[in-house]
Amino acid sequence: MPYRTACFFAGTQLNFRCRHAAKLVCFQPIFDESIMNENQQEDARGESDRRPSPPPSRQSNPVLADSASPPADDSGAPQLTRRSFLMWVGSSGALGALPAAALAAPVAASAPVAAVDDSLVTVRLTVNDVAQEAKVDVRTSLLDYLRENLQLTGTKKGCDHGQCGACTVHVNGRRVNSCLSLVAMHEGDSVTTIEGLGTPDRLHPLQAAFVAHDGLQCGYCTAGQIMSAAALLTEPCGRADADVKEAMSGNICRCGAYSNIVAAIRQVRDAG
Amino acid sequence: MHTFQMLRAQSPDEAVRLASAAVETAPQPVRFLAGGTTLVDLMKLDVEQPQQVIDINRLPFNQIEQTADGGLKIGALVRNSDLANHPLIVQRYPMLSMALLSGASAQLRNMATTGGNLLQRTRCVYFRDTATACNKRQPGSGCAAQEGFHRNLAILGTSEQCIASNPSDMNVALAALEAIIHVQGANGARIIPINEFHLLPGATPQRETVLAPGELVTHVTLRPPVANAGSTYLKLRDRASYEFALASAAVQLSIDGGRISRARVALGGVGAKPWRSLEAESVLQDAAPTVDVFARAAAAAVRDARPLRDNVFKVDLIQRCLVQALRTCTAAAPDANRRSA
Repeated sequence: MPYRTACFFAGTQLNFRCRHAAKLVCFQPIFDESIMNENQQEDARGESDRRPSPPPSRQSNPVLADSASPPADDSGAPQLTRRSFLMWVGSSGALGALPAAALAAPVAASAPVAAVDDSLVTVRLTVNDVAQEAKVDVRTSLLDYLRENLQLTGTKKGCDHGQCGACTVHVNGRRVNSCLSLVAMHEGDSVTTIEGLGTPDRLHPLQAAFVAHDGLQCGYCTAGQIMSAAALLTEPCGRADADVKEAMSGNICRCGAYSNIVAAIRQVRDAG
Repeated sequence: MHTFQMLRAQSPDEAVRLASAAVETAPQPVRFLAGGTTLVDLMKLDVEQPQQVIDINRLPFNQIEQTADGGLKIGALVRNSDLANHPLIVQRYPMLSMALLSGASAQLRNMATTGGNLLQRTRCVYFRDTATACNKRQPGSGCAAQEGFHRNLAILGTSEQCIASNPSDMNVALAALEAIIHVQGANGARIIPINEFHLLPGATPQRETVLAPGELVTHVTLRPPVANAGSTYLKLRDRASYEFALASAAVQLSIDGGRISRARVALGGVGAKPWRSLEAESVLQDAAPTVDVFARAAAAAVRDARPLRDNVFKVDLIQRCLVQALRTCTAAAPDANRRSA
């Protein structure tokens, strides 16, 4: 993703991290109304009142949706997630200092282009215990399918070439880089993403440990780190920190939170 | 990524039949898709633009079985992590386990397959960048690496047309173990010793193996393990983990009566293909396992090295790597007939 976009993620997440760490490690929406200040809420409502509301569906492709106004629920009240907020800001030019393209481009680029029929494939798979039938462009990566088709945006796109680990998910219980896998290869497979690992009310022990040990700064690599660490718990891996570092070497943390990540994993392994 | 037709093979015969049909009708190559860690990566970069992709992940090639002669048969779809952690590999071929675990990351090893790793493409930056000259990617376009960034590229087996290095760790161990590659094509099955499987670049760097178009790797067999041999895989690289080798050595030594009775040496990170060093082996054969002998073996291994401006350091590095690996092996190899001191 463009560096500027990554920085924007970093800034927004830092602001809310302390109060909402549990939501952060579960990758639940953090831009809900309860954590917006009054001015922000008024701005958002005012914007919503002045513009026609988009269709209420959250299933529609966000790239194709009317992005001139923030998504609203049936009551017309804005239903802001970090993702929809970013797309709305990017397309409406609300952040004048940032070119709209810098925010909108990564989303647009990862959506498959319209394809002719023989480029479509049908795949049946299970994602977070929910059966899915996907009819997708044959080129669609598992990562793009999770993010763009299922709106499971907790899984992050970093390098998109299997070099950073941000996209790590479990397929049939094993950790893989979802960016290097085509969804068409996963007929009958069972996929687990960070959204399927735990919830803010019922954190996976690793999510709780990441909060307790401050195993993150910007949070962009965190979903991949936690999914990798969760798989590590069931893999052959020595007890030493050096063994954990080796087993986690496929997950790059640009902020350098490594020592705290290792501490979080150590705590969970020692408890188990 | 260019679009393509995805075909799902339900049997080995069907996979070969689909590939053979595609070879005859399609102007662009057909590719078998296994783990995807190389192919999908290169398709995203437009380096690979197959018109048809045959998904072989459902074929029955995911078993590790003992063979009648005491060796092992490894299915082409056995994932790198499963191979590395299999008890028979860990106990009988520890060098192979070490090589696999030193490569890539845990996630990639869960995806990458034995057959795919044999066909792993080079990490030369010019091969991966379609805006630059690369004879391997586009024959006749030139080699930007000769004058450009080539610190990580090969010093052995290179040509004027290509200096790309083979990036695989697994292949280096398989070369030392003298593995046999089993393939199936439209004209039936055949076997290829690994040291004849990969081709040197010469004037045709786009041809990397002896596989015919549409031929499918089905499995790899290993000879019975050598009793009382010491073996190791040593990998040197810029980072402690998750990095390709600058220099690596897979070594197997047997010692009898204070002499080296059998030596197998393969080198990684320095060769245009997984580099079996018969030169080093001939120095070691019947010699005493001393550091002096090891140094002479290492010097023999790089006698024909052709380093360039920024990879000349590899000539020294691979020698130190090999000497250290030989010392480790000697310490681990029991002497079959140790003479009393």
